Amino acid sequence: MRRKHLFYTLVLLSAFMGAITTSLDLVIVEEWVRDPLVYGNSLFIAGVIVCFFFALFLSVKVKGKNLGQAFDPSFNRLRMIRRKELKYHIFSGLGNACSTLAYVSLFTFFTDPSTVLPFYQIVILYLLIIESVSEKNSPTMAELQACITVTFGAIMVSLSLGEINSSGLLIMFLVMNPASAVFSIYQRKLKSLRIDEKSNDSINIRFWNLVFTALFINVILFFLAPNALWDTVLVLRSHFGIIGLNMFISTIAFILFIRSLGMAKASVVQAIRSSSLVFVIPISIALSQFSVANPTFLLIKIMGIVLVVMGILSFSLTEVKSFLLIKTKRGFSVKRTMENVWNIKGIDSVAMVAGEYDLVARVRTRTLGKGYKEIVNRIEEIEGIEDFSWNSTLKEWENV
Amino acid sequence: MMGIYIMIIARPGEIRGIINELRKLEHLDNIAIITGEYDIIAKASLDSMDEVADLTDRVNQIKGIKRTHTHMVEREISL
Repeated sequence: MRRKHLFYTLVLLSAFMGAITTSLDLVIVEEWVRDPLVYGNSLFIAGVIVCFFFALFLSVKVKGKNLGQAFDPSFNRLRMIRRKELKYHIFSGLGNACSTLAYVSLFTFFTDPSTVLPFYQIVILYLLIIESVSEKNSPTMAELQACITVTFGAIMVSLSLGEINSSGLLIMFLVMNPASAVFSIYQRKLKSLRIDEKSNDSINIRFWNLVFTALFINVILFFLAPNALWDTVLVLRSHFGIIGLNMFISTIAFILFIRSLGMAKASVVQAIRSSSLVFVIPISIALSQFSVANPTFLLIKIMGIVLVVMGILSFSLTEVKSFLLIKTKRGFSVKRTMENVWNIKGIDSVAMVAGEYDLVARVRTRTLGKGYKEIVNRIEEIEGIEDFSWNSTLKEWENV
Repeated sequence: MMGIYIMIIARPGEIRGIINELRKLEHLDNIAIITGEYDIIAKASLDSMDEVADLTDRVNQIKGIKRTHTHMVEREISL
């Protein structure tokens, strides 16, 4: 399958399922489980149980292939956590725990899924900031523009009948989204690890993330609201079915999401996932929590959706990849030259090779103009380079 | 684990066919059609020299290829 198509399919499917689970969350809190914190905790405990059996089921081998490979080809079977994964799982579990608790506490302020869901999209801003620091890749004008469009669109969709809830917004900007950015970044790090010579599979990542998240949520609740722990057991006993179903859908959504994280920068995945907004509107109309009575707000919401979709499109359509083939000068250390090349922004990978050329570098930029300004100029400054050729990629296939 | 880059010069009009054949091969991580001196660049990860030989042998049998250059990766840095 073409990488691009697979990528968009995965992200959109995951977005669609995300919309369903958010709507379910709200219905459950409204109808059955009054205390959002208890609900958040019971979600993850149910999630660990459901995901455990689901992963066991996916480990069953049929004709030498296991069922899980339909979701992720690198899945082998449910396994113990590896030592090198531990650090990343702790961070992403903590991030997920904080953002989940913040998310469920929003239910006290907002009751319409099309209001709550957009709040998760703002994480894209935090991701861009963190990426520009950690991945030595500063955002271009086009990226910035797309981000702002998506964010403003999300805020417009979230407007409900004239009120702006400041404590809700504070929780969203200061706790939920930063924590969820941490979660996304460490999930991506986990996905790009190699386990047993294969890339890490999203099913095990999801299962262990659930375990760590449930652990951290219980630790946090133990200090914040110890009563919630016992209530969780009661809620799980009476409503395990619906909570389990909800977690099952969201587990599949996350497996697809994690897999797509391995394919692109976290902010790009998030941008496309924002399209879950498009799906949530019909669902929230179906739940008749949408104020159809007020056409002005309906119009604003639709405008917000258009902005989000435009932002996403401009994100996904602008990326230029190239290969740089470099010959180094005799008398200069190839290793040093390689490090100099690596330090240039926008260089994705550098390999020292034996053959006609000495270095092969992969470049990823938003525009060719930026590629020239920031990369070719810098390459020409490096002393140890004799000659290089810039080869733009016209089309690409990747084994994922 | 060892990596190789295979750079391919294709005969005119044969790129499409070569890509289709390459996509059937195992061990290839990435195939790209590029502008410049070469027409196609492919990256592969293999376990032994033997596998490298097998792969380059199979690539060389693909119709429409004018010349290939294989570069062994000695060291790699990536995100």
